[in-house]
Amino acid sequence: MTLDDGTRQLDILAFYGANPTGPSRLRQTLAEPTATGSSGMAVTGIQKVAQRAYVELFTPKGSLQYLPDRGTNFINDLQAGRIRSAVDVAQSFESARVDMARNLPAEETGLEPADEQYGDMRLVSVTLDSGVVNMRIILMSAAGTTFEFIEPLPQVNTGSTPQSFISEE
Amino acid sequence: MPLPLPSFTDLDPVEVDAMLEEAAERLQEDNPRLDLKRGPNHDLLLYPGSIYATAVRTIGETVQQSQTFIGIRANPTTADEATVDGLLSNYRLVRQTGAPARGQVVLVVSSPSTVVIGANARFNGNGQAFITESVFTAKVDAANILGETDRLLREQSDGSYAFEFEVVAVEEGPSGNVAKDTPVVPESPPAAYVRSYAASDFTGGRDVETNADYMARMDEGQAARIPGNPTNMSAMLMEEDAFDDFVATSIVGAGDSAMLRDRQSLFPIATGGKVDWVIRATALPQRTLVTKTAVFVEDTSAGGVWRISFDRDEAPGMYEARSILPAGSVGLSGTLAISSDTRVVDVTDLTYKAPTMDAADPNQFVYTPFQSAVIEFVDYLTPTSGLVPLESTGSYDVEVVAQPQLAQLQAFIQHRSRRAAGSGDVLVRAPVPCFVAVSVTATLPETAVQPDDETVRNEVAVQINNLGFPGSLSASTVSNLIYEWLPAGSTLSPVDLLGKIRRPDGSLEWLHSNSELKVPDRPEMFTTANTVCFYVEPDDIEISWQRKTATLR
Repeated sequence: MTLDDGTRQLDILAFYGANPTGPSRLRQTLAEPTATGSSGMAVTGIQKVAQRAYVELFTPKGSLQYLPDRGTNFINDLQAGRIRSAVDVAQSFESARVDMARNLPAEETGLEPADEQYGDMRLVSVTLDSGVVNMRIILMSAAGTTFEFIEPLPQVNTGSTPQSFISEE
Repeated sequence: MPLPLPSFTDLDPVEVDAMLEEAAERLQEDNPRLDLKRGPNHDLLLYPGSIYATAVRTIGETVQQSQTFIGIRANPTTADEATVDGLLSNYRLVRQTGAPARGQVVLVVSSPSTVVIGANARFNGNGQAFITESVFTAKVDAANILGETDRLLREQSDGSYAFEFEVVAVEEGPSGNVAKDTPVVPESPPAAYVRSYAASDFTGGRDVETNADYMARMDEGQAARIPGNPTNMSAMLMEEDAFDDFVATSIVGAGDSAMLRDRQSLFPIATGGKVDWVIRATALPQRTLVTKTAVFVEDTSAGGVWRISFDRDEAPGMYEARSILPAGSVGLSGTLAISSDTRVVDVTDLTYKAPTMDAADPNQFVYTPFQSAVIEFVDYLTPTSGLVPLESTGSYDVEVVAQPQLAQLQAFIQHRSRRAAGSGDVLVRAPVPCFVAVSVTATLPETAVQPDDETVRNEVAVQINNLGFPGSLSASTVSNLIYEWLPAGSTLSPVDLLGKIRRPDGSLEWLHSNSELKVPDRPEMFTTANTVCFYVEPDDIEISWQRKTATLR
């Protein structure tokens, strides 16, 4: 996690539980019980970019009435049952990546630190198993720092056979 | 009472976008370390906050617009009505409320038995719903007519029986002003029911006044309520509930070519001091059915000649007797031939001093509340054997066409407390009528949906009948009104306009054109652009609907 040196802009940490290394389960909450963590944490650096990208990727496009171009169609495709295979996931993700590449840099001023500027996002692997789509996604900032997260999503109209897709580096 | 917030889903997206940008800029200025890009700050603070701020700003703009005349005129549909009411009340103006139409229904039954129509009984006519406000009981024996809501069952010529009762429209608005003879059908017909229809034109239905129409009366609001210039006199009307919804008025006064009454002196010059107040109270003149007793005059080869008379107070300012048929006639339409229509002036037994009129010049008093009429017609249907001239009588149903409320307005303006102290000579008159017929062909694309013919004709008639005193009626005006209802790709043929001016002396002048009906300037006949109104019934608008056929190339 990037330390705040007093010059960076801050956003509120929305997903608790991330560890600097290794996998961990995130909790979407703005506050944590005091015994396990502090409430209202701020976020900077690559984690802030990851938060932005995560929110943008999984916001259904058109769901914000007065921001009709924000978000992507990834969740829309999932909810409409258009994702039936790992290839479908990959195709939908690629389409979403185009929207991400347009929307996220458009809201940056260029004055942010490079590790807080969106670079790219790639789907590392995807598996479909028992009605759940498991995706490994790598986010890269303009500075080259990366953040990897795994996202399990419930799938509509699942197939009975587990499927996998692994992208080439 | 505070204005409610508009719905968050109905805001102008451009306004919300601008607010997002402005709020982000201001928040960033105050909090440079706040990241307002996509994330909790943006999604939970900036975005919903901007929507709310836009809603509040919208209310502010609405109130601002509604508090000034320039704002209301620029955006009459969005100005807050309560604020507009408050503003115009400072100028003694009150918004006209809506009102339901009222009228009489004739119900025909096949047998002479007591018929009871309950209170709140529903009837439907021309797509509108009407109800009774009282219980009406129709009785066969006149001796049993005791209460105000008892009615006599009258035998018709075909052996059926009919009676009248009053209904009121369920909804406010002019749609309830159905025309005479329109079928008005009960939802629960009584026993032996045959048919039912409007006895006369229904009247009184109007919508709540819009902000635009309300503002149009602004000048009248500020004007003094005196019989002075046209604005003052319109302001006088506005003060009275009975007259505040007149369609249009026109003043013929000193110096106007159509002012005939101020040239009665020994010297052939206009002396001034007199006003003819031409009133178009309603968009269309009312058609009222009255049963008159006619006197047999003489027998001719064409049939018996009969005479009926209308005294001054029976049908003030009437235009014509459009239809005369034997009373209780069933299955007949049209009219017996009218052989003469003589108007005379009657100023006897008035409670006020009558305006000056030359009894020898019908152009000075016809269509005023001071005319009486004697009409002779030829009845070939009624046998004349045994009838004694000038003694025998017969009953006839007469459809009278007239602008309403002329006599009431005349009495109002002649009252000592209102008439001008100097001359006080104001004569109320109905406009000289130009009855119009329209004919046009509409060609629609092959697959387009044809608009409802009756709706189009009704709406076009409403627009034409509210033109006031335009002086001319152009074909392009009619075309534009019809075009509003046509699907894309439709075309209209040239509009054929036919007009019949019935001048005060009873003579007719015909106008026919594909471009414009222009009122001829004949001031000596009280016929000018200031005195003539165009009237068109929906049934006198004929639209022929055709389809384009595809051509092979």
